[in-house]
Amino acid sequence: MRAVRFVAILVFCVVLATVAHRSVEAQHGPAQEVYRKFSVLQKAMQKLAEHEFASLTELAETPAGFKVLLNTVGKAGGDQRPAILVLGSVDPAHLAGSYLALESCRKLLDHPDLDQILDRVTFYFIPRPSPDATERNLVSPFDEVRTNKRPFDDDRDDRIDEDGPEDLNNDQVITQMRVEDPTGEWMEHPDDPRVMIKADRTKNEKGRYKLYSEGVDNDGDEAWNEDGVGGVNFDRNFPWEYADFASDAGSHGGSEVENRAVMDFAFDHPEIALVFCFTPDGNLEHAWKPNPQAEGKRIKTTLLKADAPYFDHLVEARKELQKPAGAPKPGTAQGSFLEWAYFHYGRWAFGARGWWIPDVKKTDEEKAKEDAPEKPDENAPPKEEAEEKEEALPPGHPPIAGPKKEAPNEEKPKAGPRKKEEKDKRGEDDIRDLKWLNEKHYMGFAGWEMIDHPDFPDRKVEVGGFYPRSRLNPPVEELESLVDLNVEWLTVLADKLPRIALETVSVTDLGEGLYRFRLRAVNNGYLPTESAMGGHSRQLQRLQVDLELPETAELLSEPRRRGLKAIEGNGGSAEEEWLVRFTGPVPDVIVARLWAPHVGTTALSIEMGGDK
Amino acid sequence: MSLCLRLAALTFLMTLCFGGISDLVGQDAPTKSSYKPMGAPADPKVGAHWNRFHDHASATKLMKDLTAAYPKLSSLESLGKSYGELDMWAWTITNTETGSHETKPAFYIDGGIHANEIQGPDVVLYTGWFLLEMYGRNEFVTNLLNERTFYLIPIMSPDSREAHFYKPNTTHSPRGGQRPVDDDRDGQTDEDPAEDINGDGSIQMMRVADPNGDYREHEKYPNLLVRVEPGEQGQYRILGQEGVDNDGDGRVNEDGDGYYDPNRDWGWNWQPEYVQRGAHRYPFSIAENRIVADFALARPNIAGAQSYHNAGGMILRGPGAKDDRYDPRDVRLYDVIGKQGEEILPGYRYLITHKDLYEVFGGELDWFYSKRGAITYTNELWTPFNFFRKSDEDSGFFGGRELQHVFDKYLLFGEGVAEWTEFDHPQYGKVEIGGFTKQWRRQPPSFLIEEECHRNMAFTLYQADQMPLVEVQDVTVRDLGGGLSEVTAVVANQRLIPTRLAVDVKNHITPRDVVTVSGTGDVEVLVGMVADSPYFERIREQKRTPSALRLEKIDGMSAVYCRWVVKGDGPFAVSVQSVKGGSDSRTSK
Repeated sequence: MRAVRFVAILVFCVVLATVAHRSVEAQHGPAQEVYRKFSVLQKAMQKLAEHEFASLTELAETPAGFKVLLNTVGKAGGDQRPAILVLGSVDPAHLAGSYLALESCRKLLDHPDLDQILDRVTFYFIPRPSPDATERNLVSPFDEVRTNKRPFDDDRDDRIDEDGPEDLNNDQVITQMRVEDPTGEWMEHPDDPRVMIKADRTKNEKGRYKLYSEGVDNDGDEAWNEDGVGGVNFDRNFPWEYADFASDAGSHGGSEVENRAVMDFAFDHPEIALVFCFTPDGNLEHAWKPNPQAEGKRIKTTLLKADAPYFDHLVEARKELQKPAGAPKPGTAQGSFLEWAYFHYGRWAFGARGWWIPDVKKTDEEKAKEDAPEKPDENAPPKEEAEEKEEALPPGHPPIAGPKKEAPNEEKPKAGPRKKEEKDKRGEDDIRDLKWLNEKHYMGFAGWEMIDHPDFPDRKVEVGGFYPRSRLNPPVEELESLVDLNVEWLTVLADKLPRIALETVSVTDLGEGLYRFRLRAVNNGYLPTESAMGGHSRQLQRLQVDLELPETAELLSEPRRRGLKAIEGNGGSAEEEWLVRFTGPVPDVIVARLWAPHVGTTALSIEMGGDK
Repeated sequence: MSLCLRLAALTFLMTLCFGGISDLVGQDAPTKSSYKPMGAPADPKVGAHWNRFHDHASATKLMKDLTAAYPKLSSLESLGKSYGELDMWAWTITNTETGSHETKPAFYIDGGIHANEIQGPDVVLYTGWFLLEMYGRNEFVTNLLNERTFYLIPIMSPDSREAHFYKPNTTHSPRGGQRPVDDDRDGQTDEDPAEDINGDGSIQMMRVADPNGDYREHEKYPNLLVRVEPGEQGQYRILGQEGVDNDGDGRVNEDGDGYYDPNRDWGWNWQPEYVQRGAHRYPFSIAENRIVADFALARPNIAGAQSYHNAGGMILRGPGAKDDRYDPRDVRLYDVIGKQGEEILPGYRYLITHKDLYEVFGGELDWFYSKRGAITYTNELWTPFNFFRKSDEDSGFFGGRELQHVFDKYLLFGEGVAEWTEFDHPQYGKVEIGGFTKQWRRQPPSFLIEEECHRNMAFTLYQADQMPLVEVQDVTVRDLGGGLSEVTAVVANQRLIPTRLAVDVKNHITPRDVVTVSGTGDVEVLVGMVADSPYFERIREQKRTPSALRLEKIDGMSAVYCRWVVKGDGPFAVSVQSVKGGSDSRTSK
């Protein structure tokens, strides 16, 4: 009987293991469906290009054999209209960026007002500018990877890419390892033993663990995973404030084909007026602030004061669509695309993270509702965690089907980037995020699981922790609603662009065929025809005005074609005068033109018939 | 010099004397009986002229002829094509019988990145010609080519060099490349260049007689216009450079060929157009530079570099920008070489770019130092000191205007300045056109070209000789008993420059030097250590792979002391490999 029971348990275990394995496998299908591998993305972009107002362009082929692809949404002669350049996944691990850019493009093509929108604006979408690096996030074992595969000696030991991570517990994700060690500086959080915090010796605490990323010491240098495969991070390889010698920055700004492809496209398209990208390091959830002292320097590194009101206005407009409360603060901007777009390329430039684990206590309304904060599951048993993990989805991937628990926001613990408090804040972000994942039934954390580790034969080693990217990319339910929001956002951006018009102030007949023309260029949009930085950058073509005169006309006040300074929005204007003598018959109509690629072209027919 | 190297050189000499004459090729047939002055050979295998400048075709022919004549010393490869489909030549010179190019410390030289700075490429060509022709004739040169590699990129900006040769220009143009750029941001590119109205091949100045003008003729040199003093009657109004308003925007010559500056395009401290004029799009957005940078990136053995410009007689070092900083330990080396250069090059001054000239962001010499770890200078060729061998502090890069006219009158016999002549101008009516020809002011005249080539080459050869050169000086063995031996090696660098500059060590630009020990058959290395003195007072033990000791650097004129405890049989061989310092090995007795 005992033997039978043993066999039954064994069979059960095998079945359980198989189910677990299958469930992990199954998760990858939908994962790829949502956060597409390149091949799927390419097909989707090809499909979009079948629309009458869309097309597909290959900007570059990458070293891994993928392509930097661009969908244009616009009418014929699109380069005669201002354009908005949209990038997704500027941070290659920010898969949501690709998704939102692509899906926004798709939904924009279904927009009821598409025809009118495209009369004024062209859109360029590059959903996945760094396909090599992004693809590395979509293959097992899943990790949070930001670099392409260009070899690099991260630890400067003269060996290249010799010590990357390993999936030691075969759960197809790279998480962390904690190794019991009395000299370690890490300890379990008293409120949630899953969360690791640094011990504070002044508080009479002792560390109990050393913490590493999951893997073995391949090169025997007593460092773990310090030199994995690659490479260069797309969002560190732009030349603005470029970080020379940083391990993910490349050999120089623009060293990577992906970065050059995007920059060259941008420079080849002077009609681009505004750049929007999805990035965890954006300026819409955390607005850029001017710094008048820094502004006086030759090299600009802070938002120019004159541009700040316009940026603030757009930040407010975005807030109408998505409350930024609790969005994590951006990281370093060195070598980033967004800053390059504003400071070097000279365009209005905005970036949004798009999604984050909400910090419910950031709004007053929710604060008011707040009951006594419930403590997180203090004793979440490791066994339960392990079971949960078996059913878990890879990081940021769709949740398990099934009823969701009601998870009132007010129950969430205090967290987020937070004001000074007496309270010990160690690990509070982790606890908040764990609680949110738990409430939503989203799996983003692997409970600590004991393993045998070859580098620590006599030590207790456990593998676990947050799934990579699980706090960067939302589950699919949240994504869908974000698409609508971002399509609306694109129309808001289009609406804010300058709208130029040319008006006749006066045409004065001075006698004997001599006329004085006085014309006014007006901007009836919101944004000025160029930002202060745009003007400073010398990267925008000048706004020009011209009178088309017949050969019988002699211009007495040169030149005919003139450059204008920037014109503010909401009725801002500039006036110009020409003195013309007609030596033959005066034409019935004189045509004047006002244009710059990034604001468009407008013409004015001046009826000639004496004083006006 | 080792015996085998001496033999190689001797054989080469014999070949040259007895077998080589009949193979002579070249542009100037040498004579057997030439009385050889000091300096370049009177009977070169490949004749060359050094009193005129080489265009792309004649430079290509010279390099091909020399490579055909010296196949073991010279190789020529095209790195790709320029925008105008001209070959970007890379010319590698070293004795391949003593090691392939990448195994030796290398010196990089280029010229003409600013194409109008026309003599730079000729100095590079002269250097290649001289090294090849003097190999086997001169011990210093022979040693250099046995121990070192020279990478020469004579023409960095070939399209614009051709434009300067064969299209109307001034001595200052074209500085940039030939890709069209919309300089005035009006949506049209290169639509309003200068025009050679008088058809003499140079772009000069336009003037009209005007009693209300602010210029008058110089008393002694009527071709020279001088500004009138307050209260003085003027004679002329200057209308600017020769040309017309092609695009009807009221401005003359505001958008000619280019403009971008290939020497503001390099991937160190690069800044965009609003900070640095000519920066173009991003670092290495100019393809000619990118292929040269890729060439240099693939050759970490480059330990010294020179990029020739003109003018003003300067030996420039970086940093180009005042907020940048060179490591003081490296600056001490720069100073030693730079000061020696002032002696080799009379009239030249050793200067710092941002401090003594102007700020440069994205300059080539900064990239070679900061990103490749090579001591790098830019010589600004041609100095007004050479007019009359006198210093004139106030005369600027090109000499005072009056001095230029004096030199033109007495040494160029009026050839350097075109007389003012009347022409019809479509916008201004009758104008006079005159002034300097494009071949003059930044460039030496024919009779001074060879001297400029030789002295500047001499400076680079001095620097090349100071590059690190590693050597295993001594290997001793002590029997420790029980089958264990203690092997001690002295590994030295008998040159000024360390195997890795401070900037290299700090940023880990190139891999460390490696010293390995091996014995006869299977040898187990139990312990490996390094010390700075022969007494091993403060040792640094290397526990991982002790058989291959990794050194941060070997300082100039200095040694490191390596020691191993080894189980196994001798004799023991010790070898050193240094990316920038070469390699050597020695076996214990």
